[in-house]
Parts: sequence; structure tokens; C-alpha cells
Amino acid sequence: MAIPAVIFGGPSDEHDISILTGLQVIRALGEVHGVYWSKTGDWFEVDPGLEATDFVDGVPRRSRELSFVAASGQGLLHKKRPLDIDVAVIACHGGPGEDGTLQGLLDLAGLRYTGPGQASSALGMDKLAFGAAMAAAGLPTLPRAIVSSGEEPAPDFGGPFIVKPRFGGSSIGIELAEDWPTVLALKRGSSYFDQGAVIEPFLIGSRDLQVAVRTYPKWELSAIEAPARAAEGIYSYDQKYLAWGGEVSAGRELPATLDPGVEEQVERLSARVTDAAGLRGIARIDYLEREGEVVVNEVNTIPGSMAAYLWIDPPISREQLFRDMVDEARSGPVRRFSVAGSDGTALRSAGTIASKLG
Amino acid sequence: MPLRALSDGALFAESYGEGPPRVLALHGWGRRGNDFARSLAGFDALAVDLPGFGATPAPSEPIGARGYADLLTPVLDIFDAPPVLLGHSFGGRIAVCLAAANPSRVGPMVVTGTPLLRTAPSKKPSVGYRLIRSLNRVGIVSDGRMEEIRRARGSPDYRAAAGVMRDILVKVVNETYEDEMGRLETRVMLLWGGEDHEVPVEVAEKSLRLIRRSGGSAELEVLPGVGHLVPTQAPDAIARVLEEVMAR
Repeated sequence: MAIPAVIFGGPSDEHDISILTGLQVIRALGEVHGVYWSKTGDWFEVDPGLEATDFVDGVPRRSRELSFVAASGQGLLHKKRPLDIDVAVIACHGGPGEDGTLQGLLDLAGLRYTGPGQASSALGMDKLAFGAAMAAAGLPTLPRAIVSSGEEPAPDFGGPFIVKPRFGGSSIGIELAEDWPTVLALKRGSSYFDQGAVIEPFLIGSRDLQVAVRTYPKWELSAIEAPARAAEGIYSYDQKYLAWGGEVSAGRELPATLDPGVEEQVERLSARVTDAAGLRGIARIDYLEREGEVVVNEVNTIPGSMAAYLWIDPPISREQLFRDMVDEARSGPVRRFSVAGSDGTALRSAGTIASKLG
Repeated sequence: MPLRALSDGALFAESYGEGPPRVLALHGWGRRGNDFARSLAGFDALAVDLPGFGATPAPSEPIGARGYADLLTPVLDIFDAPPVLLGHSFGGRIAVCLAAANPSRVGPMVVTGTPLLRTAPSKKPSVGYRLIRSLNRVGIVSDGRMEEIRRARGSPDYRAAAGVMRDILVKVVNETYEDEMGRLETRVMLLWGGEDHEVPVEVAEKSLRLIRRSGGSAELEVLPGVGHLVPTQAPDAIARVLEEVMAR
């Protein structure tokens, strides 16, 4: 009988967090294949009853080696026989499990999967493209600029600047720079920016707001959280500036105390982000709010623990959230590739290849 | 606080306050300048990310605290007047070396939780370990296995360090600074956690005596109930001591 396969791990900075998400999903769903994607990119079927500590030293003992064949009717194979999978539940964070790479493989194998499709996954992982897509859809965003050579002229907005790796989903590598020469020096000095950095103005006096959306059985918004600006983040420091990093100065607020206008903006913008970014399943959208004005910051298309802790009003259990996600994928189409237009006409009239090279 | 590039982008520092900086803060191993965020609120200060930590790239060579002090010497040019040097642990080692090498360019010092002296004699590795190490050298024990054994024996800092930073750590933990302490011409405030089990108060007491014996000026304040991480556990105490040394 076909059952879901929960895929977790993967060659990503967030490999370990993904194991925690994956094991939660496995436990909540019950009868599933547990598919562990190792740090080196290898595939294994693991006992669904494993604990997080079983993965501390790498691939757990007695795991069954799998292979992945990206061809129609194939997918995950054990000794050349495909696992009987109806839906792949993707519980990967950051890296190729969230950036569209795995989604593309599953498309090619003709498998249904949870979360957004390949292109939307890639969009969510590219901070420059995501910001541009939101701006093009008419949504409020911060101006963003790319720093790729480290010799660019200063942008037309002033500092201080937030400097982020262009690709990737975690907060690793994010810095706050006082001025433009510092941005360029960071770009040149840090390996986190090898694939380019995006910069945006630092909104002094702003706060983060995070909310989850889900798209099945109907579009829904979770409670809105004002997260603590913790170890890797930013926290309120004094009236003028915000400090970068350091200790937690205040606990997170869930649900956040908000002006009605702010709540209304977050709800309205979240529906539009869902459409413009092609979100599916459960996603988390991050906003910045200052003096009642809300701007779209980033999206996380596969948030840690599927952002289950945000669904408190009305409460939705983890089991329910994960089951709905599976049902959504199960009831959706597989991606079809079209060969229409390639009926041989161009080939028949082509002549020799040598004549093309001329 | 926002980062600022120093020394043509070779170093990064968080900058505090609006005026010209008057304090230079040096953090501990595995930390970054931001550790001083709460201590330095209200001061005009620079808290560097030491090479290999935070935003600053690692040194190319396995240098010790004296080498770090050399890398930081150009930063002293930024200050209009000799800055107050604030150093914690690894940063304290560097602060002492920097002050000893640049006596006229450094103001009073505040040093927290810093192993300036060795208290217990360093243990020689066991016969078994030395045997495994020599078997690794001749290729009988694989490098992978040797690394596992090293990691199992090493401190959390050692296990977390990679590449040149591990060589630097090994070098630094074997250093002491009697010579530098003997040459300090500036006033030194030793601020210690009473519950510091990594660098016990005894180290501070011995350092105090050594500086005074050499004709230097030093004071010790022990903070009851505070552990090793004075910058994050007792930021108010650091701020108070900074106020005091700057007012004098």
C-alpha cells in the first residue's frame, strides 16, 4: 500500500534542525517511510521510531540504503525496487531540500510532495529575487541591492545596512554594517557572501513580526508572533538603535500585541504574498513593523517544526496540520512536462548538423 | 550595534556611541564583540571581532596572543587619546600584550577572567596517548581515528575549533604573560567572577601581586556569584568600573 515518505536531513546548514522536524512529522503521521537524507547526500530508509540522538554520529545503524532515480515511475528505490510512496513529505530546511533542488527531482520522478513547487521554493530561497517579486506585485518591501563583486557603488539608500547572504534560509552570516565601506569589506572577507550578498536599510526602531499561513483545507493565517531578538538576531537595545546579536533582552510575544491596523495589514499582505510567491502547505512569512507600517521581509517555505507552535487560535494540533499537508499534496496534481510542439517537424527539415555549424 | 570595517577591512568592530571612541574591547575565545553590548551601552567604544571570530577572517598563521596584539596595533591609530583597554579571557591576554608593547598608546585597563598565569603544572599526555600519536605519525593509526581521539580528549573550545584556529588555541593556552605584566605602565583593574571555575580568582590574585611587585598599579575586584563570563553575566559591573577608570 502506498504511504507517505517523510524526507528529512539533507546536505544543508540546517541538517540537524531538519531531523527534529522530520521525526516530529513521522511520529504524528504514524504509518510512513522515514527517509533520511544524509549530510553527504545519500539516501536511507530508517526506523520511524528513532530518536534525534540516534543521528548524532551520522547515519543510524541498521538503516537501509536507498537510491534516487529521477525518472518517471522511479523515485526512491531499495535494491532497484521503488518504495510504494503516495506523497513525499519534505521536512528539510535550508539547502537543497528547501531551495527547489529536491522538488525538481520529485517532479522528474512523477511524485507528489508537500510544500511549494520547484520554482516557488527557489524563489523563497533567493532574497534578492523574492524581494523583487514582492515589489513587482505591489507589496511594501524594503529596497534591496546586490553586492557581488565587492566593488559596487553605494546604493541610493543610506546605512546602517543589513547584510545577508543572498541565498539560504538561516540567520548565519547576517551582519549589521555601519556604512558602505564596511559592507564591501564584509563581502570581500566573509565566505558566507561568496554567492553574493543582499543589503537593505536597517529600519531603526522596527520590530519583527512572524506569521504562518497554510493553504489547505482553506487558506488560513496563524497567530502573529513578535519573536525575541535572540542570540543570532537583533534585539531592542535603546531608543535609538537596535543591537545586533547578544543576549535575549525580552521574551517572544505570542500572540503579539498589535494595533488593529497592523493585524489587518499582516492578514491582507499574507494572502497576497501567498499568491505572489506561490506558497503551498505551511509557510512562515516574516515582516518588519515600525509605527504601524508593515513591510514584507522574507518567506520561509518549510519553517522549522512546520511553524506548528504558531497555530494557537484556534488551536490546531500538529497531527492535524501535518495530515492536512499530506492530504493537500495527495489531492494535487503531479507536475506534467509538455512535449507539445516537438512533433518532429523541426527535425525533418533540419538538414545536417554540419550545415548548421556552417 | 553596527559593524565598522577597520584597518582597510582586515578587521571588524561594533561601534558604540556617537563620539570618537575611547574604549577598545577585546572578547573571549569563541565569542564576538557583541558580548560587550550591555557593558558598553552609553560609552563611545569599539568592540572588535578578533580575527577568526564574528565577521573578521582568521589569521593566516598560527599566532599567539602576542601576534594578535600585533594585528591590533594599527587599531590604536583610530583613537584620539590612549583608549581604555577592556579584555575578557582570550581578549585579556591580547590586551596585556598590546599594552606591554605600546605603553604610551594605551590607557587604563580592565581585565576580566583572563588566564595570565598558569596555576597547575600542565599535565604531560599519558603514555598511551603518546604511543597512539607516534603510531599516527608512522601511518599505523589513521588520521581520521587520530582526529577522533584528539577530539575526545580536547576541551569544548578545542573540539569546536578548526584549521588554523585550532593551532592558535593550542598555542595560546600554553602561553603565560609574566614578562608583559612586569612591564605594564598603566593602571590595571582586574574584575573577576567569584565563581569563575575556568580561571579561578587565585589567578587574579597572583597576577595582582606580580604586577605590583614589578612596580605597576593594579586592583582586584571579585564579583560574588558571577562565573567566568563576566561580560554577559555582569555587564553592569564592567560599565561601573569603566566609568570609574575614565573619571579618574
